[in-house]
Amino acid sequence: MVSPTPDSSTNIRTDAEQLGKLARTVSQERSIHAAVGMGFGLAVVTTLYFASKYAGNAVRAGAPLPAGISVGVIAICTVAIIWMCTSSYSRWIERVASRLGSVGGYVDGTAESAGWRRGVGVAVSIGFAVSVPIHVGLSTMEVLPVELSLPISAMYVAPFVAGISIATRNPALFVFPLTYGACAAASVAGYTAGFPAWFRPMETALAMGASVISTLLAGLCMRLYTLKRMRRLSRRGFKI
Amino acid sequence: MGLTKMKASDPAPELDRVIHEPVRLRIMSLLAGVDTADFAFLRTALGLSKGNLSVHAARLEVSGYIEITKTFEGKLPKTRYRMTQPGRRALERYWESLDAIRGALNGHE
Repeated sequence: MVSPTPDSSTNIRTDAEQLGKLARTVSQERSIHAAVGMGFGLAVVTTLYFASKYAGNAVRAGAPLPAGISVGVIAICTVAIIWMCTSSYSRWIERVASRLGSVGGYVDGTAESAGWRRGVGVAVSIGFAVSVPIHVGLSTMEVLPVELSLPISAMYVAPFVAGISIATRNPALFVFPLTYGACAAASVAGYTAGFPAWFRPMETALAMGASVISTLLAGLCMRLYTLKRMRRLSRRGFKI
Repeated sequence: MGLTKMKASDPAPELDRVIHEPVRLRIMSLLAGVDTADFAFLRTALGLSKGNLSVHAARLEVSGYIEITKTFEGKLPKTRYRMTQPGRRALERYWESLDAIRGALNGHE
């Protein structure tokens, strides 16, 4: 018969529950998956944008070879967008993200989501789906100047990703709206005003890229920090 | 067993020896929070050596508390661990016994 002291047994149970909670946190962390998905989507959309622009210029200049190459790139991007709607893409993202995000080993947990969290996710998704066509439409009609593209997009992109972060319980995803908002604030404050004119259309894509990279780094740092906490807890406790 | 119902004359509850070992308790506590975890994760998160983890996990498997699945991803072996329902119940009973003992000890002070 083993007789633990009252204090030690209380600590053991607290430590054990804490260990399980931390493991659950790591298992439900999906910010790396989200960042990989957003990064791939951004790369496809940016390539499509520049290929379309380049194809138009090449056709106007009467250069068949560059025009042909651009049309080929547009076709590849279109196939990629269609592929992004399939389950094979989801499996691919899962595989890539698992490789990136399985520092310290693989763990899997079922994410529990409260009703209000799902409500937040639905609300921000609807807001995003409504805002994108309005923004694109107003930009195409040249109602919105290109200089305001980044700050205006920040008004719906940042709340959307912040909402998804709340809905999916992924605190590292919060880094995305923070970075994106900071880039938009820098643009409004005029920090990018001195940059050449060709830079303006790229501003939004670069802000997205910076946000994706910072989210990836935040996800990795959070995972490593949680693993460190678990190791410390494991070494410190469980001595009966 | 409720703490208040335990009398000084009552026999003290037995702790499950399989779970009571600190390394096995750590493994069980971690697995209680997740669906599955692989060998590398358990080793990193708990700061255990390969041999130590293998031996204790095998002991838990023999007792039916965890399930060990070995597969290959390409040429790399993958070992995954999952806590079973009897394992979850045993862990719960273990905490209840520990609480009962603590209650008894507090009662004697």
